[in-house]
Amino acid sequence: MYKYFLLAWMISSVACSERVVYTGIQPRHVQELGEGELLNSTHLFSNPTAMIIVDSLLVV
Amino acid sequence: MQDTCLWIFNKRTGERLAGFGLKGRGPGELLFPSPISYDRDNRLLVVFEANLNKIIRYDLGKVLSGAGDFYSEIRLNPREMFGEKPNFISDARPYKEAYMIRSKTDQMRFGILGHDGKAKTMYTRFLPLVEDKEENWALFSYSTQWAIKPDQTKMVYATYIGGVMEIFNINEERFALDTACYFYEPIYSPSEGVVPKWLVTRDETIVGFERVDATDDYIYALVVGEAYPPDAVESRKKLFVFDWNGNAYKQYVFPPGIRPESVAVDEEQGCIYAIVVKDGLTEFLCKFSIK
Repeated sequence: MYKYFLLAWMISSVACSERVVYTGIQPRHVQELGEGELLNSTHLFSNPTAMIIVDSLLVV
Repeated sequence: MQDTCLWIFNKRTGERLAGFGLKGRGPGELLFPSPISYDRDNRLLVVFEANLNKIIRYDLGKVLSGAGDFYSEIRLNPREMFGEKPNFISDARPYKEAYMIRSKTDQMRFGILGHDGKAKTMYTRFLPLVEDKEENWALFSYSTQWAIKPDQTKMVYATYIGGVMEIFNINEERFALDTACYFYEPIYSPSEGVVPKWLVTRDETIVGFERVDATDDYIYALVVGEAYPPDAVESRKKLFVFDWNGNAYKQYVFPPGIRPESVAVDEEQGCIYAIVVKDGLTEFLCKFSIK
């Protein structure tokens, strides 16, 4: 009887330990960015899906 | 001007150099392009057009020189890949000499496109976040962000609803889940009457990953991390830096009133390029130092 009780307890412990715990994101370092440099204020962007750097170019 | 989907800028001066990828259904044209990626081996920009089932490859040198033959296309046929069962390829990225593709059904989450035009080494597993199987795969299909490590040994997937990030090892064209990070619980409602099931966000939905980008050292992720009304003016997006074990190494905080929409990190030059919305107004191309 004790064995069955122990087995049931172990199963429930494993099930509990597998429940997902959501932790948020805890970064080790936080850096505030400065105001930044305005590179282009005339181009009208239309829902840019991504931006990548290719050598000396930015592709948007 | 709005008929052109893609633009090239000088990254030092911000000068606009060329536009390409006209809106349309014709050769070299796009309707709603997927995020762009770059094939470094062949020096080609790669865009997948899901509505037209084609991969378009642009030669940037030819775009800049005004040459006529600046693009080539690969047409995909989902029916040939998966048979008669409905399927939808949502993205394709360069991978070695082929392409890695992802899909929005439970038949294939992602896989590699073989030279015969068929999908091979298909990965179909999903982390069990919720009990309902269809809702679970819909969670992993809803605007999920992904990026392949440039050395092509790893891949990151991250959810938009809630925030769950998976890192996969890619070895001999086989995928194995290496790390799963559970940051924010997915909160959603199933869309009524939609088959297969689809999801809608709620006011209390925590918006997770909006963009991810990868370098050989880090994963860069634009994350909201809280419930997010679409008309919010105040910047709520954070740029996190993760290592390839899923540890959050750093967070960059943008100045008040600046909302980043797209970012690209230049590790060599020590700067972040970003398209930002400033004080809720129009979008600008900006550069931020991270030195």
